[in-house]
Amino acid sequence: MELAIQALIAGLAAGAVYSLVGMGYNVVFSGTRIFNLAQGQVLMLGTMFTWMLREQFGVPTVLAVILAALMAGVANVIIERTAVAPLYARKGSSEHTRILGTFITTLGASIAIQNIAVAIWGLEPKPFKAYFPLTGLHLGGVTITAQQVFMVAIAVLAVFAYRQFAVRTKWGVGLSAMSEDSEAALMRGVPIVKGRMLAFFLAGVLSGLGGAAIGPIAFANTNLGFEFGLKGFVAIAIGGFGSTTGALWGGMILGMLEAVMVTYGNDQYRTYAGLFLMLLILLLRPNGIAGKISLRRV
Amino acid sequence: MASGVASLSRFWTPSERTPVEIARARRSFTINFAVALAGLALIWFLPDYVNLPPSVFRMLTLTYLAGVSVIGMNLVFGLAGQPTLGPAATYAVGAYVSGLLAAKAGWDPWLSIPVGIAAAAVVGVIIGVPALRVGGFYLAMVTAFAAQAVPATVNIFHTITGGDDGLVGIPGIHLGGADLDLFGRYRLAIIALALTALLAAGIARSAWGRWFRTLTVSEVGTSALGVSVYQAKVIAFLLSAIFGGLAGALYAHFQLVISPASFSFDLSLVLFASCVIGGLGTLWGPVLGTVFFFLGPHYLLPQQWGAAWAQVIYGVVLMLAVIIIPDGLAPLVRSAGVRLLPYLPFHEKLGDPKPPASPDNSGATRAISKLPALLQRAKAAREAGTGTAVLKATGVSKRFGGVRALKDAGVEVESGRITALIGPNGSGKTTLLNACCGYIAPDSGSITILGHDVSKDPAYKRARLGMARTFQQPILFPSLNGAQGVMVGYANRRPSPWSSLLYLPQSLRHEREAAARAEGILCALGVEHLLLKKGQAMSLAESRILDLARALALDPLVLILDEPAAGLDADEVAVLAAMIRAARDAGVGVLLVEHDVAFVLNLADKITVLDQGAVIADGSPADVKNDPKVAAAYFGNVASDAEEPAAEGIRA
Repeated sequence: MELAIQALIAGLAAGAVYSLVGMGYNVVFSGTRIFNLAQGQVLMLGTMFTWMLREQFGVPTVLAVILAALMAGVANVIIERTAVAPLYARKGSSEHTRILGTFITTLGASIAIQNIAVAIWGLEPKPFKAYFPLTGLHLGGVTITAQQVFMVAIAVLAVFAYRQFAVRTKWGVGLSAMSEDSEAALMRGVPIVKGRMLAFFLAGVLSGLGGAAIGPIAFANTNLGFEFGLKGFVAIAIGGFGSTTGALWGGMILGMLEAVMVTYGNDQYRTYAGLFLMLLILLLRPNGIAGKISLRRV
Repeated sequence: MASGVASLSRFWTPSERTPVEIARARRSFTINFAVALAGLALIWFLPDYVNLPPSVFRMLTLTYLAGVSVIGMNLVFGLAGQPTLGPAATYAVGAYVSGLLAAKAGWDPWLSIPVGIAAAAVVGVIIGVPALRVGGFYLAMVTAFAAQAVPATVNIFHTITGGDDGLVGIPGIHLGGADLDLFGRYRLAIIALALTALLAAGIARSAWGRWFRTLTVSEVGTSALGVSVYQAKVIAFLLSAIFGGLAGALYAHFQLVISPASFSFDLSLVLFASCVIGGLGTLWGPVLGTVFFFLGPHYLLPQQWGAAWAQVIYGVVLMLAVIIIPDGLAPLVRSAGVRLLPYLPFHEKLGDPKPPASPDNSGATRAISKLPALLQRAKAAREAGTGTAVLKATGVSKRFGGVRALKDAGVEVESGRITALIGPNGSGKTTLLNACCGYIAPDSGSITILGHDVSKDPAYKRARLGMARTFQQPILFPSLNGAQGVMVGYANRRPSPWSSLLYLPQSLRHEREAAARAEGILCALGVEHLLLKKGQAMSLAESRILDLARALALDPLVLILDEPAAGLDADEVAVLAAMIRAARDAGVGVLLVEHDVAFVLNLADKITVLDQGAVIADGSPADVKNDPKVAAAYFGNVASDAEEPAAEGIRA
């Protein structure tokens, strides 16, 4: 029993990071219908930037995390400028071609980013200094570490902050309008291109925060981007496309199932958790549990 | 009746000539076949006249096998527009199943390879059947997951698979008592590549290839052709899994040792990139793309750059390709090849297909005489007597949240008559239309086709019963010609995907019938110049006419026209009206949904008026025109005379 609870807690913490990637997808997807496959690599950049700032430049931890998240946001805007914007600037292409096109270009960006990172930082994971003392809070036989609390807290805070932004600020409302109907939003004066860049920036910050948060657990590993990208997708597949809170607990469900499967099986079962959840959700609720946007065309 | 179709086809064509699309396809097939044969001869005899190190031939052999997988991927990703990110998964399944059976159970590779292919197909079904319920990104992500699960699966079963250390002791393929040597394997890979290309071309050039393409234009449109969107996607995916399995199984028996590292996610990405860069949906693209991506980084990049920078270049090339050459390499090579065509020795004999000459220039007037022979279902309905109810919607209600879109609405379409459905914006016309076609499920009410209740049937089944429709946004294939665009609509005696794959008579006959029919309809409508015109070159009016011809190719009982006149000028509207009348006179029951009141009054035999989701008038144009309720709905409380000027606007 204690083993199971311990696994669930660890899963909740890892799942919170999947949620952050999933939220990033949703912020971009709901406003633009673009699915940014390079998002997982932005998480990886978040980890690597944090590591670089702390280890190589001696920047204090809090500042390093904030700076790394902002840099990840900028990196995602660069992805938007190079991989997405050129396709939208071309006239006369159909919606299908454009969406398929961004799918391919963001995949290309993903491959390029991962390998640039490999070329710079190498393939070997580098030790990542812990943020908190490793001793945790003991409740019965279960231990909760500060690192775990930190990961969940960041994800929950991010959901809260994003929702406040979406309803309280001019730009947030503009993004929401784009997600309802981008043409109508355009006619009411929402600058679509700037909105798209903003969405990519926010998604990059969210993923970058996730990357910074998971650093002490996953280490500074240049190879984890795509895997986290996939898991972020599972998070929104469970939670529902376009739903911020859905992404939060979708990621957590995945994280917990993974942890349970790894605890009672072995590490090889980890991938199967996501695959299984995804096939299950497709059979039962193809639009996710709290889906706002139907992916299913008639 | 069976022999009747053959004799009818004589009516369909102006003379007893081969339909122009069949002639064109034969010519194109001959040219492609000749080029392929030359290319194959070149690589087949490469070991004989060039003295290259064995490592080069090994590399080439793997490239050909990758080509097999990419050709398969091109069917589902290129043609049907469903991106997959996990070709390495089916590749690995084929390799491990065949390799295990041969290494551990002592099977002969010639037996274990087919079982490996079958296993890949089964895995394809397990992944594809759920993922394709949504398709698109979902398929990509689920397949990416499956590819990521390959190393884990191999390690879970490490006692038999050897885990990360690899599966060793896989027997090689033997032929005539001896194991194949390096060049034997090289040539077997060429045979596999050639065979795969031939089979894939069979699918791509058949009705199934066209239906796969329709998916990328419009899924709703695909179901209106009588094709199940889901089934088509699953078939495309299954085919790609089978070719992936073949490539993988051969790989196992060529390498003799396999490990998860051979099927890494990077392999999937390279295969994906090859498919894109070659040109999605093209015949030659997969081959060109594979050569480019497999040999390019290996032999063009300086070795000291290392693997990471080679991968960076993959990524950047992938991005640039979509931005700079969205159609891929194949069209570029093709346009260069077309210039060389006149120098081919047999070029003279091939002849250029020419559209049939128009016997007179009276255009649309010929429609009336030729069309009835083409519309068999309508003919039967006409013989049963004009005015049979072919489509009947009664008591249809639909709520969207708090909005009542339809309240007990209905419409009746009779054979040989034009029924118009009109109403102001938001009156529920589109909702009723979608309920009739099966795109929304009404809360209550029934839809019947010729007395047969179809209320529960999906759209494609209704289409198969003879419900054809056109779209406000016509189904238009930029890269296909008019004949092919109309052939898409022909659904009688649909060939099975397997018969298309293997060039069986069933598929070839369908092709001939579809071509003859498409040509017959376009000629009957007086637009034979559209036969060889590419979709991208067509005007709005031409694409509307083509959409109408495509709908007629279904051999409809009911023809639903969704705002056919929108955006056309008066002359174009007149031509279209004549065509619609011709369809009616052939016995088709026409349902016209239109904003343009003048057009409707001029054309319709019967008008149903919807307002706020309910039928407010139903009767002859004259009755409806003078109905004060209709005038009120359209113009507020203005006298009905107010619409006179509009009615005079168009005289067809």
